[in-house]
Amino acid sequence: MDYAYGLTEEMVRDISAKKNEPEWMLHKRLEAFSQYAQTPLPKFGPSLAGLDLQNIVYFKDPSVAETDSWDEVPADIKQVYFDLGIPQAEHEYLGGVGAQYDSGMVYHRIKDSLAKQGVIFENMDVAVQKYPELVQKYFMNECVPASDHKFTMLHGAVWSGGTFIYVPKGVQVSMPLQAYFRMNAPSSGQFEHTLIIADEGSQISYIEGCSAPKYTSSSLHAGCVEVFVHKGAKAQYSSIENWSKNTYNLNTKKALVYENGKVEWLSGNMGSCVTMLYPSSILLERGATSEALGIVLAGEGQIQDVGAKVVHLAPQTHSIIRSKSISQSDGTAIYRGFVHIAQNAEHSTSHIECDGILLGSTSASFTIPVTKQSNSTSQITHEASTGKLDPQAIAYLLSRGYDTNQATRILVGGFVGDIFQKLPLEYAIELNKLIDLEIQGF
Amino acid sequence: MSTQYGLQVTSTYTAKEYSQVVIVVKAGEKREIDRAGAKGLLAIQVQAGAELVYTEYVQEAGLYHTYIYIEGENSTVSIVSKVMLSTGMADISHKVFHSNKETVSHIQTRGVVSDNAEVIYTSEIRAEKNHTDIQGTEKADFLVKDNARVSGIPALSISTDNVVCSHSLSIVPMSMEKIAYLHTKGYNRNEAEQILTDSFLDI
Repeated sequence: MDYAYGLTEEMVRDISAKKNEPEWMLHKRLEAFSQYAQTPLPKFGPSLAGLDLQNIVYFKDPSVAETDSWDEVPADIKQVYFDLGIPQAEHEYLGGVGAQYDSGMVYHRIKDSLAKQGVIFENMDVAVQKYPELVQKYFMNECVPASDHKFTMLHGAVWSGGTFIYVPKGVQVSMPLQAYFRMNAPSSGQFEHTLIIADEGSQISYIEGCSAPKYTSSSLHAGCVEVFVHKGAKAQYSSIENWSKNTYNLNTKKALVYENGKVEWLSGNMGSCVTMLYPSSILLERGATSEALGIVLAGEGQIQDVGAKVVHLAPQTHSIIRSKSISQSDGTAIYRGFVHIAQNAEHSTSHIECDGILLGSTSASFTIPVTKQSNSTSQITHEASTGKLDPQAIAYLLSRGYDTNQATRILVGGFVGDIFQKLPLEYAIELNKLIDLEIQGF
Repeated sequence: MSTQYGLQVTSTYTAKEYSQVVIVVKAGEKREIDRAGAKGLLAIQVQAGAELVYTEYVQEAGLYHTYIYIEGENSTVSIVSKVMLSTGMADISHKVFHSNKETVSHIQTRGVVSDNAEVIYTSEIRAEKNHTDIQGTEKADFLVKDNARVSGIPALSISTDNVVCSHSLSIVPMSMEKIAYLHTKGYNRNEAEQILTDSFLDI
């Protein structure tokens, strides 16, 4: 089932009815739609003038039933995922895989050994039906309420598909779980919802990949990620977003971290025409920690407005933000960060590093780190640098027989290398290849 | 009298003029300007080959915004700002706009904020398109005590590739280890804090 362009209350009701959702979810959707209709676009950040919200198809069903066997996925859709190497990765090193095509999940599977330990890895639509109590408790309430901003309101109204993960107390998932989101239709929107609950003492690593082919009209991605890290748990969320260069990527990611819990955000952003994405951590209880590492590449015509936010609300909470950006051609990379150490967050620390490289005379880099320190026993440190590649280093590599292009790629590889080390090996290789492809011919 | 940036232009500065003026540092000139405790917005235009050293010492609540427009090539600007605040709120801003090639700016800010005082500190080094060989550094360090609060936004806005720009910001408590060390040398708590404050602000 597809819808016409634009969004109406009737469409929202239809989406909910098609998914056979309980009344409370329909109510949530309608409330979000009502807020969305009354809320203007954000007043900060890059221009969204090219985004015609009336010219987006908000729901596009792949018309395929979800399966746990690649053999049952239609050949044309299956080929997309084989080209992306997803089934091979699943076989070699993943604990589970989900694949979403436009608005619907087409494949979902978790290793039996994890399922036996009580780990839930489901399509979000299915989770609403199978685990209503868990979903109702956590979905768009405390972590990312729909009222957060214009695009969480939109997301709350039209969300479809995505991933639900629950890791029971004390269970440590050693193999990463992965979901891959593909937006294939022109002028479409993708609004997948990811909800991760790491119960006390558990551990989970989750990876998302995103892509879309390029059409002449703009597309919109307004996903939402909610992560709950309970006492002593650890959750690592990695994403490589390589949307087509006419996609507006207005994504929201937030984690609530409880006593001695730890959340890690690893992000690689290189596609889309405009990205606005600031993974956020709210450190609610003593000893909670957050680490956000990001790599962004802004190429021709791109504005990558990314960063991270951390709010320290309890004593002895700690955060680290490290961001690396590469701007080439007329691309613009913006680091927009926010760290607040609240009055009762005694003996807390936050360290922020953001470095930018400019590869073109018309490229641009902006650093806007907002820091707010309200407890005099705590400390915030921040450092940033922006500049071109070191001419002496390039000269040295030229003297070793490399050409300028090779030397540039080697130095860019070194610039982002320390963040690659945090990624699972296969993803570090993929991200490295993507960056290499983007700066080829520089 | 002419105006620029919406402000009145002057080539001299006294604390009495304290606000809403533009001081012009003429081509080739070497100038030292001390804000002398004056509050308000102060704008300075720096012409080709000029060297400016700007200093301020903020000890009272109020607004202290300084915008420096480097419009001539081959010119240098240095900002040295000290802050010692124990009551009220100070809104301090340093912005340097590099609008020509081969220009250099250094911003150094140190502050000790205590009791119930609050400091809002913003800074920006902006390098405009098509200007090359620009260097800009900004470094801001604050010591906080008691119930003091500091908010900071040290921004870099770079629209050209031939630049070397950096900034750093730290907001940290006064070191208890250093105070303890000074206790062992016979200083009481107040004396130890005063020694550490004086040495911290000695830039």
